[in-house]
Amino acid sequence: MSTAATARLTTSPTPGRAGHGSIAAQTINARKTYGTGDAVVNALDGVTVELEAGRFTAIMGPSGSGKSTLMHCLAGLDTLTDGHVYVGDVEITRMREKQLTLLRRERVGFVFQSYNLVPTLTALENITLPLSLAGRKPDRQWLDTVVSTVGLGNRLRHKPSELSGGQQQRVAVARTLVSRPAIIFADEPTGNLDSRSSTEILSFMRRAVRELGQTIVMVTHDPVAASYADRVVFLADGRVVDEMTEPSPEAILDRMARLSR
Amino acid sequence: MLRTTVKGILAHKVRLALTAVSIVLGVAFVAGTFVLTDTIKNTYDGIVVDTYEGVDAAVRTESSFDTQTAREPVPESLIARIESVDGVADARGILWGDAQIVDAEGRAVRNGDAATLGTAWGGNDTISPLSVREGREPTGPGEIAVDARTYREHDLRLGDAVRVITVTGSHTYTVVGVSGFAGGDDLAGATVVSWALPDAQDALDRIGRFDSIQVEAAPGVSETALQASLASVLPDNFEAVTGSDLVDEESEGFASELAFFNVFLLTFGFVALFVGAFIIYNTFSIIVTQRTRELALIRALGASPRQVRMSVLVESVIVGGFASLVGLALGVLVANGLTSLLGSFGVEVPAGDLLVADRTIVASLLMGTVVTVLSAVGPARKASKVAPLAAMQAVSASARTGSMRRTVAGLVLTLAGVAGVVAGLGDGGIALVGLGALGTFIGVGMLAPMISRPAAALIGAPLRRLGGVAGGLARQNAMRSARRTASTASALMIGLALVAMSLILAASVTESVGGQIERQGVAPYLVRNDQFEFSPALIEAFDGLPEIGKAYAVSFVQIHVDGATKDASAIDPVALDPDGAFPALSLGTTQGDVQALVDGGIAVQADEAADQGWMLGDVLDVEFPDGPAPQTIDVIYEESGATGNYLIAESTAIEHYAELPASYGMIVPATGAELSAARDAAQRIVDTEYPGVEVLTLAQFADAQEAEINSLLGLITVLLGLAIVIALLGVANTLALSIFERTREIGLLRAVGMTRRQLRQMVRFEAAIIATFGALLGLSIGVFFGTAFVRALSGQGIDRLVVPGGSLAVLVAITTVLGIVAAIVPARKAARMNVLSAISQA
Repeated sequence: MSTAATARLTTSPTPGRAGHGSIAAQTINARKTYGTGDAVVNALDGVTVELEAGRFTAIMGPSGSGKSTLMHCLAGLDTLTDGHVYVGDVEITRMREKQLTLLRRERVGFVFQSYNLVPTLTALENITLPLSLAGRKPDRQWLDTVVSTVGLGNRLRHKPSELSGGQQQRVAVARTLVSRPAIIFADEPTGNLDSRSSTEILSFMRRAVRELGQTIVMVTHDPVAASYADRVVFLADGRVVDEMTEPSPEAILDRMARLSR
Repeated sequence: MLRTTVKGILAHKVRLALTAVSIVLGVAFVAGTFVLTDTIKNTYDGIVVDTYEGVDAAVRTESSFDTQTAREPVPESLIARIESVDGVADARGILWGDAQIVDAEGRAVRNGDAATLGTAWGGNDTISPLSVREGREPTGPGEIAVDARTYREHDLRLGDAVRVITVTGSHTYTVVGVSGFAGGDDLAGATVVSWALPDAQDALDRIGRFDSIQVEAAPGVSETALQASLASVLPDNFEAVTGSDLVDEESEGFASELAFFNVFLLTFGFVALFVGAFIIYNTFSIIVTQRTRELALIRALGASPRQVRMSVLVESVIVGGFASLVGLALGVLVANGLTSLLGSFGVEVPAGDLLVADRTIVASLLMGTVVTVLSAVGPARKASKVAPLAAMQAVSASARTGSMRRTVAGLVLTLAGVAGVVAGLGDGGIALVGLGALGTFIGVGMLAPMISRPAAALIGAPLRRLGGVAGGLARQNAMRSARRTASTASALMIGLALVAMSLILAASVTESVGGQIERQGVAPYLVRNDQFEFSPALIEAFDGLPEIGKAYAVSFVQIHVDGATKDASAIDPVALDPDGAFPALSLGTTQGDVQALVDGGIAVQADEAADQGWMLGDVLDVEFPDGPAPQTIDVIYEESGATGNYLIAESTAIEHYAELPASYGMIVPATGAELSAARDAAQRIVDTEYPGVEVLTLAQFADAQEAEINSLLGLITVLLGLAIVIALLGVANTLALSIFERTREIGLLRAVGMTRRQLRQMVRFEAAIIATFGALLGLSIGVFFGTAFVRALSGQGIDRLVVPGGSLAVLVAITTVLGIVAAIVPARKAARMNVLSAISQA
């Protein structure tokens, strides 16, 4: 594990602890096109966005606006056609698969809409999975903090199939927290949940930002979910068209309605 | 519905093709075996027909023995009487015997493993199959002709002086001619030396006698009419047979020898097909599970359970039929491959143009298709039970370990199978052993899911420490799909069990034989060749050396006791007398006086005597090739390894057997002579006169036996390798299907930071767990089979049970490694999956 990439990753600023104002991730003029000729689709059409550390940012937009593509590219799951992506001050645009894997493991966390947990592992094992994959011992104290924040208590030894949808998503968020990534990406984390569970998980994420100083970027099309964020970035047709800070659900709904007109 | 089925097959063609391979290989092996043995049989039958071309009848002595024991010769004087019979055009004495040509460098001339024969030149008449190709026929003393193949392949020249070793010793002759045999160059690869009649009779120890007399009928006289008129003039104990009967007799005799060979090879083909059945079952089960939604949709759209069941069965018919066709075509290649494989293990197979009989085509297609369809019956039933509602539910691998019914059925089958094997080995016959083994395998296969979860947990335990997360996850995966792990491992279990059994058998036989040689050998040196058959003249030559006190020949013969054929040994009783001047062989504890055998009588092994209820002094109803001759039991002895259960004096054997070649020999040095001097003297004679014969110490003799057993073991292991390869394809197939099923999970693992390397490791570890589980299952069954087999053979002198722990451990280790190798491709495929599309897969 002594590749140049590892060295660069480990010498970069301590993840998760950056104060307000510094940049956790950014894109500069990001373009992503699919297909060729007449059938060409511009999923991202020159997106430049800065995501501040220690804040909860929501990315919103109608379907096809490019919000998921943007998140995938920011997280190193997908590559740009043109432009640059930085995580912290490290450019990941031209990283190779192996370096990207290490980036995902060390500096980025994910929460998907569903199927976030490995069914054969217990909740606790799922939480420590990224650390185990990296061959690292969990920081006991930090793990306890995270686990107590999750509030699963004695269900930690249960398999995912024995947990409710909301509990599963909380475990997924805890998993991202435990390795203290520079940034956590959540892709419609409440998409499959009822409203009570949604509230539970969104509050949990906001607490992670406020109390633990974590950076979270969430893609959603639900104005209520987005209202938990400190800042909302609006995307349409592959471009950033607007943004809003300290939003209320009503204001977001209003803005969305105008966007889709 | 058929269209849906066909489309289904096309949609899963890679998976099904992989499955079909397991059937293709099995069918190809079965077809190849049929093609090979049919070809050999056809070639041989052609030779037999040619050999007896022009022979309308033969006169010979009657015999109740099979072809292994030579008939008593007929006197030369009988020819005149036969020639005077009405309807006889010509009659000629026939002589065949062993004749080993030795080339100028002192090497034995041989074409592979084929026989070395000598015969009397019959001239270019209708009866004789020999004809002059080059030079002339041998007419005078000291002249021979050699068959065209041997002449060509061993660089002989007309006018060369060559030595020929026969039953009467080593002779030197001049090559004056080259013979063709019945239209061909040679007789199935055998070297053929031919002499003028007087030399032939001299060399083959048949002065004034023949093996038989062959008769040509006068024009217009039928074979049966000729046979009848000959029979009316023949003395007692002589018989006349027609030319057609001779051909049939010879052809059937060969067919029964070949049948063993055929069954031996077919067994491996059946094992391969059986393993294939496990794979088919597994693949269809997995595909049905993965298609649950699709099947449910079809049901929701109005298909009946019957239609769903039929669609799966039709799919299996198409896959099985297609695989069988490909297998049949490959069979021809396999036939060639088998020829060279057997050749490399020293089994020379005479082969002409490959013969694909109708039976081969029908049997191969039928077997492959039936096996496939039968294996698909279970999965088809399962498919028909899918409820239309399942279309709305998520699909996952069955975590069930096995129903109560399945467990009970598995237990019953296993116990019945074990009982079958034990009873079959007792005296129920080999078919029962085979059925029992089949039952045991299927039964254990049904029980395996019950233990596969704890077994995978146990086997995978060290992986958690060694393999990190990848190891732990692999272990969980193997445990998760208990049934899938079990049936994949079961396929592997079969080959492993048979290899383990062979290892135990080989080790036990080696140890028993070695032990017997050590216990029984008194003479420091033993003499043998590869065929365990050489001229007794060599023993006489040893006896003439001053360094050697006494040399003995042991000859294996067949006798009939109370009408049953028994193997016996003939030896000079002096060799058995521990108080004599030159003891060579110990019989252990004996009752009676071995020296009494000199005047006739028989010795019987103690257990055999006890089984038959015989006592010292009883008179046995014994029959030799020349007729019944009751024998008194003079000796009852303990150790049977070197001689078998019956023993007679050499002098008795000479009296009753037309031929008595030595099977092996024993050398006792002269009193006061150096051991090594006796050996060197013996070695000199062997080197100059009897190539191919070896002088060995007791330990070397045991080693040579061991080498032969190991060579056979090697052949069996290679042939069983096919079953193991098929099972490994099954491992690869299962993993590929599991990976496909776990696409999203793999995507997730990659997303949270699992490297490709770790992912590949995870897949390979899972394969290692499955393979090790299969190996251990196989090992336990193999140890049981092997132990049962060795116990059953205790009557045949296999008195030691050896379970070669080291070899068995290596076997398990190799299997684990092979399992990992089988996982390379699926692992790579998993690692190459695109993370994003894997996660977003519905």
